[in-house]
Amino acid sequence: MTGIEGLDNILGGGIPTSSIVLVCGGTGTGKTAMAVEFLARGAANGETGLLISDIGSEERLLSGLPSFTFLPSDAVKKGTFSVIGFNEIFSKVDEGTTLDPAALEKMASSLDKVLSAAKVKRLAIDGVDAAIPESGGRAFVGAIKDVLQKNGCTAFLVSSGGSEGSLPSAADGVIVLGDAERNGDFLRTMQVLKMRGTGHSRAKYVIDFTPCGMLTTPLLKGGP
Amino acid sequence: MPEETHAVVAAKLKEIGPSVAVNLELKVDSYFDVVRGLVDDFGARNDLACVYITSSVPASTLMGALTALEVDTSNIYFVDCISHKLMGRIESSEHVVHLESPSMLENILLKVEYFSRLISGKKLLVVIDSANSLATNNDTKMLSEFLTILLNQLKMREAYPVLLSLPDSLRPEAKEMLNLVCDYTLAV
Repeated sequence: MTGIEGLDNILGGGIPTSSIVLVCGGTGTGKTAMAVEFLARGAANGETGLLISDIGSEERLLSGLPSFTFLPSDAVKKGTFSVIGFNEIFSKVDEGTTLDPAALEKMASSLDKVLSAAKVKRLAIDGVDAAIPESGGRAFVGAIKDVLQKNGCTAFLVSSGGSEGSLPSAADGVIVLGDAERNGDFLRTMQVLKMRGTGHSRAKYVIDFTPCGMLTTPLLKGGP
Repeated sequence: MPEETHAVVAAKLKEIGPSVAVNLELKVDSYFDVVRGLVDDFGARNDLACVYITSSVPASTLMGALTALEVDTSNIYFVDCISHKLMGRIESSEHVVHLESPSMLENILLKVEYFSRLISGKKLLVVIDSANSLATNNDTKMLSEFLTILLNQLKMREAYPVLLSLPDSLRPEAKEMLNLVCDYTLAV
C-alpha cells in the first residue's frame, strides 16, 4: 500500500515492494507533490523515505506543497523524511552520451550505501530525466533494480518527460499526470498506464492535492 | 398563523431524515429565508456541519447575509464556484475554497470530499445551490452523472443532501433529471 488512498484504490491494493514506478507529466501537474506524499505516507507509517532532488532543504521543499497533515511533525528530525542533493548520488550526463557500465556501477554503489545506511524503504528521485540521457533509461533501471530489491525499497522516478521511451518501457509502473481540457476548464488528471503485478484501472481520474493528501475522482464522461 | 418558511424547511428535513436526496423547490423571494432554515434552524440546531456548494451567490455575500441574520457560521464550509467567474475578490480561508467555474464538476466532488475529511466526526448537511445555475453552466448529461455520484456518496455517509431549485426557470430536461436523481421533492 502506498497510503495514497485514491491511488491504492486504482491499483487494487498498492505497488509491489521494490517496484520502480515512473511518475511523468508536464510542469505543474503534481508530480513532486505525489512523490512527496508517497514518502510522507511512509514516514507516517514508520518507513524511512528519501527524496533525491536539487530543490534544497526539506523545509524549502515542503513550503511549496500543501501542508500534509499526516506527515509527522518530527519526521525530518527523526530522519524518516529527508532530502539529499542529486550530486550525492548521480553525476549529470549530457544528452546524447551513453551511461557506461562503470558510471552505472558507481551510481548503484552510492545509492546502495545511502539506502542501507538509513534503512530507506521509500525513495523518490525528482527530475530523473535531467540526470540520465533519453537512451539510457533501460540501463539506469537495470542498474538500480538490484539495489532496490536488496534494500526492500520502492522507488518513484519523477520525470517531466513523456510516457514513451526507454525509461517508461523499463520501469515496473508508469503513472501519467496531466491536464484535461474541457470547454476552457483545465482539470488535473492521473492515469496509471502500467503497474506490474497489479490489476489496475486504466481510466483517467481527476486529482486535487489538499492538506489531507491527494484526492481522486473519476473523470466524468457525460453519458453515452 | 402560518409557520415561517425557515421553520417549515427545518421541520420537514428533520422528518425526512438522512440519506435522502432532497430537491428543495423554492421561490426567489424566499431564498434567504430558506437558506436560514437550512443552515441555522436545521443544520446548527441538529449539530450538523454544513458544506454549502454555491454556484449562484458568492460565499462572501452568503456569509454577510447569514451574519446579518445572526446565524452562527462557524460550522459552515463553502465551495464557492462563482466568485472567480464574477472576477470578484477571492479570499480563501479554512472555511471557503474557490473553484474557477461551476463547470468544474469533478473539482466540486473533490472539495466536498476534502471538507468531509476535514470535518470528520460530525454528520453533514450538504447544500447544492443551485440546480438552476449548475444547469446553466453544464450539459444535462454531465450534470446528471455528477449529481448521481455526489448524492450517492453523501447518502452512503448518512449525510443530508439538499439541492435547491427554482422550478419556474428550469428547462424541462433539467426538471426531468432532478426527478431522476433526487429521492424527494419538497416545495416551499
